[in-house]
Amino acid sequence: MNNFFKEPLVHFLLAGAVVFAVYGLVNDRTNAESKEERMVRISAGQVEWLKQTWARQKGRPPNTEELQGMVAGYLKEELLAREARELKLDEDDTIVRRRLAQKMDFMVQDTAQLAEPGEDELRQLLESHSVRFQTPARITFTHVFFNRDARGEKTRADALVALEQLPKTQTGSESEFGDRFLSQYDFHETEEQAVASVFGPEFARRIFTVPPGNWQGPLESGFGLHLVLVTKKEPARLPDFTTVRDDVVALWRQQQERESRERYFSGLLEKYEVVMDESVKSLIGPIALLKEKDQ
Amino acid sequence: MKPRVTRRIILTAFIAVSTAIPLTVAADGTLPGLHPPDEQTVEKAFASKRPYSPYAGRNFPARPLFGDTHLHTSFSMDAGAFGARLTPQDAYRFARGEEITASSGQRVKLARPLDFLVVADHSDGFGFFPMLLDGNPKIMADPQGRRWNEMVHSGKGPQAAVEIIVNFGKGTISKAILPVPGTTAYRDAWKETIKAAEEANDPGRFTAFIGYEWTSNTAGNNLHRNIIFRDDASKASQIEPFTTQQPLGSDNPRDLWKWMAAYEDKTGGQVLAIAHNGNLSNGRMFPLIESFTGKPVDEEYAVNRERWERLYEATQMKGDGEAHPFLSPNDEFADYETWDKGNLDLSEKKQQAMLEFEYARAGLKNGLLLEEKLGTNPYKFGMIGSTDSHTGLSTADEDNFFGKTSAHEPNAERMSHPFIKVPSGDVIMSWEITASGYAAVWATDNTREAIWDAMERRETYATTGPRMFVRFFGGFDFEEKDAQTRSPAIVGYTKGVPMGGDLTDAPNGKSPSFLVAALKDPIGANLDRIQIVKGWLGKDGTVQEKVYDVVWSGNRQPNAQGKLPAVGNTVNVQEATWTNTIGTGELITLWKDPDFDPSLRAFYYARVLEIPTPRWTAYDVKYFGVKAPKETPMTTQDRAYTSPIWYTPGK
Repeated sequence: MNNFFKEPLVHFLLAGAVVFAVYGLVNDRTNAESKEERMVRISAGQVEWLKQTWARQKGRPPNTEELQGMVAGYLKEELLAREARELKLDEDDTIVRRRLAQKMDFMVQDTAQLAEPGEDELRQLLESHSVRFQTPARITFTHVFFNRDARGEKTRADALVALEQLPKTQTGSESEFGDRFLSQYDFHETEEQAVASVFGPEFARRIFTVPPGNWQGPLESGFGLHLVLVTKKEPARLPDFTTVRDDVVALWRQQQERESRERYFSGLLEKYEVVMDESVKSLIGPIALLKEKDQ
Repeated sequence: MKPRVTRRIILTAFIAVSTAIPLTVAADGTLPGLHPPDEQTVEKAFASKRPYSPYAGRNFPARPLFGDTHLHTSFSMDAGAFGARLTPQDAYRFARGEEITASSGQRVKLARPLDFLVVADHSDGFGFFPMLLDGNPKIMADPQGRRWNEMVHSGKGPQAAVEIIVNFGKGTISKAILPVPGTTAYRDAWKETIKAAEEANDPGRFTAFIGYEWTSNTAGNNLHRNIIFRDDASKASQIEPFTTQQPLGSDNPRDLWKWMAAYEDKTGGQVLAIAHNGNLSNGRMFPLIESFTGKPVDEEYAVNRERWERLYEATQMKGDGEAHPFLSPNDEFADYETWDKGNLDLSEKKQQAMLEFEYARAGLKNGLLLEEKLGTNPYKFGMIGSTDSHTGLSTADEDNFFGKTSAHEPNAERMSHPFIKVPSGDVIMSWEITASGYAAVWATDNTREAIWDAMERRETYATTGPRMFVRFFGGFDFEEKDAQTRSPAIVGYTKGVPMGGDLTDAPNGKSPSFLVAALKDPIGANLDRIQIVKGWLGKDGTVQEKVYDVVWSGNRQPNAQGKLPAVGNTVNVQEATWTNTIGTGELITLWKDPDFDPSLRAFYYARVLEIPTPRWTAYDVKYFGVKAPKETPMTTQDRAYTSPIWYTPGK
């Protein structure tokens, strides 16, 4: 009997049986797996979605024939897509890659939207971005105009004579001095940009440097010379926290989103090893390149 | 339809009431139940000094606001195809005066910020281009879409753009790839547009309107309109733009008006439409016979057009549309930046008979004719200019012109390329593109509401780029001295109606007079002259026009034929410079119509001419050191057109 087990033929048969049994077991499982993989499901929900898309575009629901056509089309598309993936056509395809990256990006963006800021945090943010939120400086002034087209070379001398005589309380619109000015004489709490739109940017910059209290000038514009009486100047100021709170929250969200993106990319850079050709290294900065532009 | 309330400035009533009260007291000296007040008391009560600002308590606009009602960004499919990469957000930032990087990579900044902007991207294919660029699966599944995607990615963007525009004009863009209302891509693009306007809108400083362009372009005939919302996102986001492609949209303006009415009914909001480029409509912009039905314009058309289309974009980059030399042979300035070779895609040549239905002045005239027949004037529109730039950059200054499309952003060759060329040999060269224009609006405040309301009452004017200040009032009670007062605007508003207004019932034996004044752009060129253009419906039922020089610079005298000598020319073309040694900074006069007949319908508008300055092509030649094609004009005479004031005989 011992000899029986020593027979090479028996060894061979036994080994064959074992191999066969194992193969059978394994093969069974592979069959099941590949069946699952090769299954193309079309759910009622998907058909509903097809119907809705149709209705939105055509303004009416599809009839049975049209619906059958759509479902057949969808099935064909799905089959082609599956087959394409199996042949690895999705690799090295710019569009597929870009779309996947975009989907991931949206996910990152969405998760950043969830957090809520604290009040202190917002106040600090307002302070550190005061220029962005401040109300521009404003000026109240009146002017008397000396028309260069009409007065020619005498314009400056005429203006200087008037400067000595102009009453401190007078406004440009009622003054007997100078010439008519077709646009405005009196400007009330006006920002630099609005002054510039009447007199030009250079005049607007200069008038904000004129000390208030008495007639000054003459200041030059594209039209001629102007004596100016500044009565009030308000510097640029930070608005009330409550009035800009929504805007500050928007800025905070922007920053959060940027930061969470940066964190996410840092994580990805740790997860993946980026290997570059020597010539590429100079083209890529460290994480800086992955940071969003500061808006 | 709801009746529409047009806001009127009731200054006349205000003045009448405030002066009548003290006068009554002074006349009989008594008030019921009270002893007569002494003079001092009355003075204290009524003669108190008016507010510091002469404008306080008088609700009229002190300065014009300048803006652009017609700007495209990469969200417009043709703009994107031509290389525009800027978004609506970028467009608003630029208009506010920020320096940004143009699609061509050049740094660019406006000389001065604008006061308002409407980003008006094409509603058909809204957001198409970002989809095309990204190779959206729907686009890639379609042979046409795939072809254009490949063209754009292989550096053939401009060719793709032309193909896209031509196919759009013919309605041959594959339905599968054109985003339509109701789809996610479309809705997202509209949301993005609204969001950009909401973020940029800064009441009091800068107004960002929500808007879009409805681009009716069947067979290449331009019937485009820009739609401008008075409202914010809460209303505008309840709807999606009206398109021209069937079955959701329509290319017939009547359907657009229905859509507008439906929007107002649904949301309680307000919306207006501004048409443009009649010069490329081949006889369809201001029809007597509707091109859609072949039937005469009827009352329903007239009523709706007058209701929804209160303004017309009379000047822009694709040519100036105020007047045409064929229609106005006696107007020496009518041939200004004329584009009259054909329709928008040059698929049909221009015939002279079409011109009458294309230009603003002719439209205003035929409006009088239709009003006589139908009881309503469908072409009772005011004037604005805008750019129609497809770069996201609202540039209309000659020395800072970033072109019509991103392919036309400054480069050495841009003048010499054809803009449109068709197999028949017809061509529009890129040097023909006009650096024009802006919309000037007499709004009481820089807000959506105030600017929109001023547009609705037509208190606007068009400029071809410069920001000159133009006042225009009409009335029967003006006197010579009114043009000499220190604040003519106060007289203008109290004794007359401003541009866009109406005069009627001429008092016996009186002719209307017009108080007109202009101040040059504070950093621009001097003024040559102010003209008043009159159009009227003659006794014989034919429409007439006449251009009057009413005030001009210097001591020029009209010759025996009444022609005023030219102002001169200081332009140094080689250096692209000029001097303000000719012309004048301000012009004002009171002009009375010498040929008035109270029984005839008429309109009057002012045209203000600058002295000649270098055209954008001269700046290009100087900067790039290149030669321009020999027929390229190198100087221009920029100008402004006010909205008309209409005279209608009493019943």
